[in-house]
Amino acid sequence: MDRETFLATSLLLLAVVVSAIAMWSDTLRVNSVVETGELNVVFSGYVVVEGDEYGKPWVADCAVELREVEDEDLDNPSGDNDLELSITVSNAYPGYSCTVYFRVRNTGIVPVVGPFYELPDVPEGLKVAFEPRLAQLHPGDEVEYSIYLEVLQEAEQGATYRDLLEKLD
Amino acid sequence: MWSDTLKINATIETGEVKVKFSTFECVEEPEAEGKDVGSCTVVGEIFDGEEMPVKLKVTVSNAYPSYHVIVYFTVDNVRSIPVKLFSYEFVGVDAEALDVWLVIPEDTQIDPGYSSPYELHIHVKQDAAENSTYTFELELTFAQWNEVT
Repeated sequence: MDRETFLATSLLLLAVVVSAIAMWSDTLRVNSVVETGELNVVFSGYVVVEGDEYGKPWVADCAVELREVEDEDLDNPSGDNDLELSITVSNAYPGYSCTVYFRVRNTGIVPVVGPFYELPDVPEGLKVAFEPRLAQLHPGDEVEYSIYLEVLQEAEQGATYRDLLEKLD
Repeated sequence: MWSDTLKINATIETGEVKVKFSTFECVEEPEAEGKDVGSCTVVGEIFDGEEMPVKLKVTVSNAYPSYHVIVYFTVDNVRSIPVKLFSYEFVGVDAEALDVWLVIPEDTQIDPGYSSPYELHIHVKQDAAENSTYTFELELTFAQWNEVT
């Protein structure tokens, strides 16, 4: 076999082998994107109902506002800094009481369960009642709680009782 | 787990009950035949830390049977809580020698910044001894208005 014939035969064989390897194929890929939801609750409103004021509603006052006091979620990467429900009772006297009815709304897109709360020791002379029912709150849902404050005879005159804080998770 | 925290910040400021004597004076009932025999003075005897009189001293001198003096005084509410007269008590009155009584307002309630007038009557009886000294005390207790019926 001369040289030309050998080259032609080799090229022919190579073409056959290449065509056999280049078989049909199709590729599938999985492209994963995970979007997380958001968990968020806020105070969405409140109503103040004062107890018996003994004919003199101007003596004591129970004022409530939503305002920034501190970042309550400083160590909580999943929380945000919400406004606090700030209650200030002024010129109170034994027998005075007020109830603050407040609402919490789930403004996120993940259902939440709560509240899990801490109630600090209540000083002598005051009564604080907060016994919320554990509930599941779906996105957009709202639930109402109440906190009751009463000044007892043991309360000191001219005193300021601060940091009666409730923490709700 | 994921969580979001809400806080309730509650502050309770209590008020205060405090009263003091403000004006006080002795007024004698007219003495027989226009004479000025007996006499009466009233001064603040004890003052609190804010220099407010909380005890009065009434001195009746050279008194005689049928001598009658009225001590007019007012009580001021100098703090933030309304008060009412809760009780009053005479201590150490010699009933043989003296008739003493207190005239109180029909409504003893005093709102902050307001006053109420009182009258202490002292009448010397016929059985009073000569050259004697009679002492007694009157104590008035005021309390927050909503606890006094």
